[in-house]
Amino acid sequence: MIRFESVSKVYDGIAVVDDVSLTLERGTITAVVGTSGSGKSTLLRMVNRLVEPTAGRVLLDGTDTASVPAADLRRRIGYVIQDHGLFPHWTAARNIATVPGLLGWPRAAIDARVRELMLMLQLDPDVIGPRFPHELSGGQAQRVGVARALAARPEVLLMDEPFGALDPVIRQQAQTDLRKLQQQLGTTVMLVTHDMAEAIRLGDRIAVMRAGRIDQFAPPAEIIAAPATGFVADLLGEGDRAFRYLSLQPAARLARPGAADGPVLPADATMADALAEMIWSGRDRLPVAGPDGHPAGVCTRDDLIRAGRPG
Amino acid sequence: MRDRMAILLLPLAASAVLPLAVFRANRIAAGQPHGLVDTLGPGAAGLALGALALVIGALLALHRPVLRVAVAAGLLVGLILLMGWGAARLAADAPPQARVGPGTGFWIALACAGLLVIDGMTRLRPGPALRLALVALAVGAGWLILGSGALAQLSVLQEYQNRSGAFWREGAKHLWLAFGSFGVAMLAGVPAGILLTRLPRIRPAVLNLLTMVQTIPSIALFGMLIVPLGWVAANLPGAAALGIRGIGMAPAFVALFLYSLLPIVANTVAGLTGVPRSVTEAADGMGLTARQRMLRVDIPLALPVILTAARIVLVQNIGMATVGALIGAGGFGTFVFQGVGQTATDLILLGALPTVALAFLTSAVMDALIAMLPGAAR
Amino acid sequence: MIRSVLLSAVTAAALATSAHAQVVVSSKIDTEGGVLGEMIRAVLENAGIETENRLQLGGTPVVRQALLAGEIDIYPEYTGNAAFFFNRAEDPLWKDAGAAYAEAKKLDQEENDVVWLTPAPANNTWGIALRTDVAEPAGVRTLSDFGKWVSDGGEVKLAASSEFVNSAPALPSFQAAYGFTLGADQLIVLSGGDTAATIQAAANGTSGANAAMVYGTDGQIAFSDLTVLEDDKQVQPVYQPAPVVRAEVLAEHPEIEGLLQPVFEKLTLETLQDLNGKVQVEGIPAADVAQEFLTANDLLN
Repeated sequence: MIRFESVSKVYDGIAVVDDVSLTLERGTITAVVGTSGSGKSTLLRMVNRLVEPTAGRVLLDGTDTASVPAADLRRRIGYVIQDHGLFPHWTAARNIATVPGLLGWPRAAIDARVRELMLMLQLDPDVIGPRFPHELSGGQAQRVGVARALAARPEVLLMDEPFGALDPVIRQQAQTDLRKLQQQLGTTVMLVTHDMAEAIRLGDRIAVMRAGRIDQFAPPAEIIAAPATGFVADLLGEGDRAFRYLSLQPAARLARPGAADGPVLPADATMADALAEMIWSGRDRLPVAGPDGHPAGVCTRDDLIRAGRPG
Repeated sequence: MRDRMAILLLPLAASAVLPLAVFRANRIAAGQPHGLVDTLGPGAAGLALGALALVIGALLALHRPVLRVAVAAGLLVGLILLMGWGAARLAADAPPQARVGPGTGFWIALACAGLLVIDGMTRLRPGPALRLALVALAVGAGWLILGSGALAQLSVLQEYQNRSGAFWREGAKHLWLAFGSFGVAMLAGVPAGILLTRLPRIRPAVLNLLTMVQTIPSIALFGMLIVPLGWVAANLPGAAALGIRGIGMAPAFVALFLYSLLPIVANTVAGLTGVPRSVTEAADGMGLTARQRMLRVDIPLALPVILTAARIVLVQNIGMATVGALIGAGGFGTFVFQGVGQTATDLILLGALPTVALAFLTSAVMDALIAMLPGAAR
Repeated sequence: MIRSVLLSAVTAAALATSAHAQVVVSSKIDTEGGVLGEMIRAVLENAGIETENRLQLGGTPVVRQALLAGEIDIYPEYTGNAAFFFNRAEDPLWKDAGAAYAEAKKLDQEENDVVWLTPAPANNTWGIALRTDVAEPAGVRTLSDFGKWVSDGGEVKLAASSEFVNSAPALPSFQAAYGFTLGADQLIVLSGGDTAATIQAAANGTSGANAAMVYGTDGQIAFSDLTVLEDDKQVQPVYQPAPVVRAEVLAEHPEIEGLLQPVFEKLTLETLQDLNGKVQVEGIPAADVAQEFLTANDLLN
């Protein structure tokens, strides 16, 4: 659990972060969204004390982070940044082994952990392990960066625009992978992004920041349903709101008994997926798969359209 | 690709009709050119021409760079040995003060052979380890040829034989001047560079000062150091006993040290500030202490840039150390300046050739070392 | 590790240089400096005075400064150079051999505690040399002879640097003093030419040259069949080489004066040309040339 208590950061008389109080629950992903200069990265960097607060304090599982030596604190916190920041003179494997090495793990334990992480992130340890960063693709480098951040089993993972350097196709896959990984490990994630769609896709809760303050801190559905300020609404984009809202909800929730023709919608499809499929295949009823993969009911156009509007 | 090589074969063939050797009645007399037949005698000249034709034919027929390099290297060695043999033949029935040196034909053929070797090597792109091995091979071959006495009658080696003791003594001084001052400059310059990256405010002032030092002509800087160092030697107890004097090694050593500082300090700063921000950010974020970051990340990443400076400094020092001879520091420059005074070209060459060879070797070795750094192939 | 290597090397160098109160013998970097320096060294060593070899140290300012700073003890210097050491180049006194030596000796003794020992008779100054096969038949031995011979229509072509031709103390002052004038067709001006080039031109008769600008004791002269013409009206400052020694060292080894006097007295113009030539032209090491000369003249016992 990460807890900000009236935290401010002032540079040259200007409050970049202005009296922010926020609690990030254990085992969740919190996405901090904002435009550049909103103070979101500064807020993130106060967790591992790359930035020291001017006022207020940051608690990590109830402990004031200021009471722990900075280097020790940082070794307990995973950190992923936009340009991955891999050490160019070290191989991928050695990069991943950085923090366990600093913590003095035995050699064998480090090697096993590196292998385990690489497999978890779909990187072949024997092929990718010995490569230098300049020999990796963008996606591989990003995953090595995540593996490096997770190496010492941190309870908290800080991610600053982690997908910013990836092209759109790879980015979507990387986002899905991160979600799965987080569910598997139960890590508390604080993720900074300027992309509202990414925040909606990944965040259990979203904090919208503007000029150093939190405009709204709520689950994605609530953000879409009831933007607290005009700024939040602007970030959402008027035209996309309905589709964003649909994309948050599983289509299976609308399943009602009955049958329909044509291909079956997969169980993990969202309502946005269902609507797209209806438009494209010219149907107004789709069969929806249950958890076992067999058709469990149908989803109708009217139900979908009703579900696209909160309230 | 083949055109480039054909261009070299033309002057190579033409070199056969140009003078192979230059004969001088004494070491500063005007030279008389001697052609292939004059120098080698008709029989040997015929053999040499045949061999040359064979080499040209082989170079036209062979396409694999490895084979071409081998043929060109063979030509290079063969030419040098032939020159030595021809010199011995010409010197055999001449008075002892007569001198035989290489003529234009030899130089042109040598340049062609050298270019062919270099051309082939650039196509082969050998890795750094192989490059080091080749450098060692070339040094070994040179050593063997010089040691065998096959070139003993060449004018430059005549100069060497007249002062072989002095040659190695001055050579040792030259190495000590060039490499010693470099070593001290590294010990001082790298920490200074590290310090300057942390003190961005005084950085421009310090770098400007070092640039100014760099622009002082070497002989002027040597001269400027005579007075303060002489004062130190006379007034600081123990300084003279440490070998600090106004004349000789000390001012040359200090001058070379000062010249070395700018490239080392500037490149240390450039190397360290050139470490990508994302990398330093990641290093800090993962909990490396300042010291760990410096030793494991910043310096290793700046190392190629720092070593590039080291290479520049070493080559610069090896060249500039020759000027030290003018203030009694010794080194190969002694022969250069004595040769200038006596208008004896061969004596000048006796100082200049090892200096050039030393600079070339150092540069090649440093290049290979830089290429061997991990993750360097970017 | 590098640090310790440096330290030990510095210490070793220090031990090597400060072991004894040896007499530090030095010279300029030119050929004649090498020969004269080797002679001084050989004579002192032969007399049981230990020496340290710092020969061919550098140019005139370097060697001079080293002497005044006490870093070297003795080296050969030219009397005419004292004019520049004491900023009195305009004084005509430097054109008289005896007066020049006396003045140099007096000034240096008073100001610097440095002693000029007996000079060589040879005068290594700017001059004109004529091909011997021209000079002998024409009976030209001095510059006065030369001036008369040229004015009487003697066929001359002088190879010289443009500096020699144009600078007032050189050719113009010779022409004024000896009453001759060389026209453009009697001159071969080698821009930036040194004496090596002018001597070569006269010796080989390049472009009809039969006379050359020279320095009196140039080693090439002996090998080129040229005769240096005597400056009998003393137009040029005299540059006689003499050992210059720090008074402190001379007091410690007073015998040095007597040891070097017979050596330098033997060094005539022709002798020095010959000795320099052996080094410069034949490539014999200066030490060997000096040793041979001293032995041949019974100056070592």
